[in-house]
Amino acid sequence: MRTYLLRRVLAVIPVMLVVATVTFLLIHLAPGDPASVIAGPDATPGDVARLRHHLGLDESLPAQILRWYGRLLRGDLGDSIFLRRPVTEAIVERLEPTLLLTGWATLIAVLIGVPAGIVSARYHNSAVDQSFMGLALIGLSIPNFLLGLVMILVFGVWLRWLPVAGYVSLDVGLWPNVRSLLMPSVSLGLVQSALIARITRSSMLDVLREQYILAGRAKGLAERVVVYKHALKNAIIPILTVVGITFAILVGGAVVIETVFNIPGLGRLIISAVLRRDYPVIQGVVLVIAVTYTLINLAVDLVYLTVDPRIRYQ
Amino acid sequence: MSTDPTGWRWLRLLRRRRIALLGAILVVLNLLVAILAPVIGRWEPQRLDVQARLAPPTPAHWMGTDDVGRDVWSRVVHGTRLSMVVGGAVVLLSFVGGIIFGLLGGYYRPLDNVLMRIMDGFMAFPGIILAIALMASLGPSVLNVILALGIVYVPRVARIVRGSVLVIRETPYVEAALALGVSDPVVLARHVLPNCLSPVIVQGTFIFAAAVLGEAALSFLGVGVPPQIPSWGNVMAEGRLYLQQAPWLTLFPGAAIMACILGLNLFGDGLRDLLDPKMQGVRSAAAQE
Repeated sequence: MRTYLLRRVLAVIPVMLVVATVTFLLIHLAPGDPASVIAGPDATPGDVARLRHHLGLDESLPAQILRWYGRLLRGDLGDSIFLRRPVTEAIVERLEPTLLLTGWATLIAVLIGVPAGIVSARYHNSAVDQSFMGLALIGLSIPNFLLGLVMILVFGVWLRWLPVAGYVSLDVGLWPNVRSLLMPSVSLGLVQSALIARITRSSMLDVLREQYILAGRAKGLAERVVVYKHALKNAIIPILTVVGITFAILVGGAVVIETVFNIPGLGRLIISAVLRRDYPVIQGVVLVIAVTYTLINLAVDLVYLTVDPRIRYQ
Repeated sequence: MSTDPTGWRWLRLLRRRRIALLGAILVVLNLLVAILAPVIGRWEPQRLDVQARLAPPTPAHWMGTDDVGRDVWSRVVHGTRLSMVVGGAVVLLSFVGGIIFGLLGGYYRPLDNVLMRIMDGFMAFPGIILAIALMASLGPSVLNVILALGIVYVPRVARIVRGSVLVIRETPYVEAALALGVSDPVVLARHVLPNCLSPVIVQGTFIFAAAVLGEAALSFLGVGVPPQIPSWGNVMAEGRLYLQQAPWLTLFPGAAIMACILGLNLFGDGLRDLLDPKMQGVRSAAAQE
């Protein structure tokens, strides 16, 4: 088990190296001289030269990339060109809304998706199963921003139950904060729950075909015990993976949803940085998200070890 | 039976699965709209009519008009055309890249480790985030949207191809071909490649759907195709600003996206059940990003 653990942890290193290199190359991917692109058409040659020096773009490419790795190891993401402050500071400031949004959305997605998947598997091919899976397929076909806009239209504009947009910080109070995140979390979580429902169902169905399930039924166990105790326990691993994988989809969705609801999170930060060509911010946000995703997948794999002893002895 | 042209056999197989047939019909409908866009569009998608700005749906403007009086029906119909082009091109690009890397990685062991670590690195970025970052560097244009989304899906195709190649290279028929002195490139092209295509083709429908959604999301965020080009995402981005006065600006293109994605998903699910029965019920998460 120790070798497995070590191998799994070490496997993160090449991934991180590629992630760091790709984010470094982003700035050099732009056609033309990056410094003059960032400075914009109104900048004087002096401005451009100063910016080039400030960003370290006047050094050779190998020197630049080594410096980039070195800075990352120290946790230094550089300074934003437009916000005139460290990128890490800007990211930390925008973390709260994004974390709360993705957290609530995950909770909603799991609370709806997992039970729906279990029920569908237990009553396989019944009307319940078919209508759940039909709904899930429709859910997978709705872009989250469309769902968000429709919810704004119905609950914000027509019924006036909830604020149409904006974010209230947790500092103001728990209830106003939850209220401002209700529609965004639901529109993000509902789409996600469709995916989780489908995977939960198929992994439950796989397990229900196993011999030990047949044995359980043969010795007269109640169907309830068979499904919830024996089958669910073994189906939990694929479900866990999905929750890990869906994090990527969730964060990607959050970027879009934050724009729909005007929530000042990481998504707004990166989009405004793209529109202003503020490369250090773009690189910083992309890097933080990719590293988080990698670490979450590592954590999921390590949780397997405790949930499933079979992996431990491989 | 055996004299049946392949096309008809496919159609018969599809007919057995009603839902998949419904999906195929929706996809064909989208393709028809895309091809016939200039004919059925009725208005020039760029034609301004400030007098008629934000007009609700009428017999003249079936889906109303936008904030500068452009016909929404025409813009949605031309948006279909753009979505189909982007979807098709992204599938093509990710197939070419993914098949090359997948074949090389699966067949040549020393290359495998390096190639797959690079693919893993790319897959550590959530799809839309990587696409946004690439668009920031490449700049807004249709071609760049295709490039960015294509790069996102190359590693996903490469992984599937590599997985199949690892199995196929151990089969007796590959061994036999090599023993007869057939060269590596020929073995790869004639014996390995055709046998790893079915899961890739299934994945293709999901990548198509993901690319259509991706383009819509990028354009909605203002980092996709330039705003004057009619695209579902662009129309919805304008619609967001006039949600209260002119909900049709958001709802019609939104419905078009849904019909298209639903069709592709239904078709893809049916295709997967036909080509790849083992995968029943499991669906690649790649298509969701």
